[in-house]
Order: sequence, then C-alpha cells, then structure tokens
Amino acid sequence: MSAPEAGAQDVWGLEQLIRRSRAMDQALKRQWLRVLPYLTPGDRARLYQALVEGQAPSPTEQAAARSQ
Amino acid sequence: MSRRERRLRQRQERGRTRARAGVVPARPAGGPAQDVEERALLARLLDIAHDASTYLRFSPNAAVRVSSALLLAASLAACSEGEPSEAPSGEAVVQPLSQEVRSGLPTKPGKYPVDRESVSRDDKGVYRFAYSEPGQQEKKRASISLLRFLSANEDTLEVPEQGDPILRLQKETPVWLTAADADHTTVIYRTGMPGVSPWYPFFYISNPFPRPVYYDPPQRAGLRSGEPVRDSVVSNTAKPAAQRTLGAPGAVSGRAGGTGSGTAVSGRTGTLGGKSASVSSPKSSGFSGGSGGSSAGASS
Repeated sequence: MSAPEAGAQDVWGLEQLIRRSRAMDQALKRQWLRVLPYLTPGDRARLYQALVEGQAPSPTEQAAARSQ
Repeated sequence: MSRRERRLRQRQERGRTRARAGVVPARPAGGPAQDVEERALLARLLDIAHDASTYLRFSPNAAVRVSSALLLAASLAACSEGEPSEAPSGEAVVQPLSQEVRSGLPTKPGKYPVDRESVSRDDKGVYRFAYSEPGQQEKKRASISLLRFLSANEDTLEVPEQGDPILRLQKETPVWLTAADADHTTVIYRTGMPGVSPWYPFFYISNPFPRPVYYDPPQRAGLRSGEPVRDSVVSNTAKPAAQRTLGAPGAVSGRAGGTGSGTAVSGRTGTLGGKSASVSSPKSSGFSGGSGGSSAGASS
C-alpha cells in the first residue's frame, strides 16, 4: 500500500494535517474537516499527498534549521 | 550578548518550536504575500475541492451539500487572496488609446457653435461635445482625442485648414470628466452626478494663452469624485496617448491648492494664478513662466 493510500485511510491523520496546514485559513480548514468523512478514497489520497508535499519546509526554514 | 539580542533569540526559538509542533496559526487574510509553495498548495486544494463538490452536491445529506459548496467558495477565496488587484489605488488603470479618435466633426473649415453643457472628456482623453452647423438647429455630436483649447468669450469649435481643431470655451464652461465607458449620447452632466466632475481648464490662469494649446487635467487620485477640478497641465504639442489617460501612474501631476508647483512630464513647472499648474513641452521647446508669477506663456 502506497503512502497516499495509507494516508487516505487514516482520517485522523488527515485531520491533523489539515489542522496544521499553514497555507489554509481557519474557514478553509473548517470546511475541509466537515467534508473529509464524505470524500472518496481517491480524493482523500490526493488531499493527503497535497498536504504532505505542501508541508515540506521552505528553503528559508531549511536554512534556519541548518543554522541551529 | 545584549539583553535585547537575547530576548530576540528567545522569541525566534519560541517561534521555531511552535512551528515544529504545528501550532503556528495560519496567516491572516490580507497578510504578507503567500509564497509560491503555499499558492501551489491552495491551487491543488481548489482542484480537489472542485472534484469533490461534483459528487458531494448530490449527497442525500443537506449539510454535506452545503459544506461542499462552502468548501468550494472558501477554496476560491483562498486562491484569489493576495492576487494583485486591477486597481491598486482604488481606481481602474485606464488603457491608453491605440489610435487617435476623430469622428463626427464638420468637414468644412470654419466656426461652429458648441452646446456648453455637452463638453466632456473621458479617462482616455477623448473629448465629446455637441455642435450645430451655421443656420441649423440640429445638434451633431463629435468625438476627438486631439483638441486644442483657447479661452474665449464664446463656446465654439473652430476647424482650421490645418492642424487640430480648436475648442474656444468661456472660463466658466465646464468640461465634464467622465469614465471612458460612460453613456455619452444621452446623459446630460450635472454637478453631483456620481463619477463625473466639472473641469475648468482656464480657471486659475489669469492671462490665458493667447493662442490655442493643449490642456489636460492634472493627474491625481479622485479626479471624478464630483469635486470641481480647476487646474490644468498645458503643453504646446499633444502628449502621447499614454500620458493623456487619467489614472495612469507616473504621467503628469499637478496640485490644486498646494504651495508648490506641479510636475510635468518634462519636469518643467510653472505656477499660474497663485495655484499650481504645469507647462510642458514634450518636444523640449522654449518655456517661460517661472514660479510665483501670475502669468505664464509657452513658446514653440
């Protein structure tokens, strides 16, 4: 089972990803959380992939981490 | 390390810890520009939201149907946030004319009476007015982008043998500043009408130019706020179309009621009648009329 497929089955994990997303504002997060249980497994996998890839640290954050 | 540096470092460390723990709040709406990655993520989320809404809107659960619609709306709003608006200063940026306008004018040289209530100039610099042929009651409408002005005791249009037509206007005859897409055929402009302002080209000029020259309203915000505009930018030759639009940034500026002088395209300034106005000559011809004087002239 691939990571997105696994992520698609883990609704709780997806919820955490949505809640932690820095790109989304609170209103958008709320709507995603409401529809999350009703998404198809395919769309959940896409959502999981987008959020995981979107949470990759930016070059600035990477540089800051390196300087620590 | 100073106390201030230590405090700053502690604050940075707290921020990093919060970020690692995932408790950093989302950026507020209208905050700093989102970076490229965030915008890309929001675009992907919009794509998913769009696909999800195609099947969720048929859900038997009304709450799900509503939620999917709200999700789509919120996703669209998030994607459009931070996009540059068309009018950064609240006024639409006007595209200049691609070619000069000249229509409805008399074909024969001569002088034609002009309806003083009908003279207007739009954001693109196109003048419109109604005139009548000698001995005829019927009003004809003309549109023209290259028009010279002359202060006179009458409101007439002069079509010379050569050169751009001349509008002879009385000092108190308004030229109505209007939007480019306004209805110019049926509307009669009046003070207080939204989106239009009367412009009096010669108001602050105690000694108007004795020969026809090109007049432009000053470039500043809120020109069509309804307040009368009483200052002008004068030039011997017609400015390029891009410098005749109202609302285009960086073209010409002039100030009414200020203490200093306005700034013209050429950078040459003059003060007319105690108020500011600019005299410019795009082809760098002669200029006279220094600051503080009550008269100014432009020589070609």
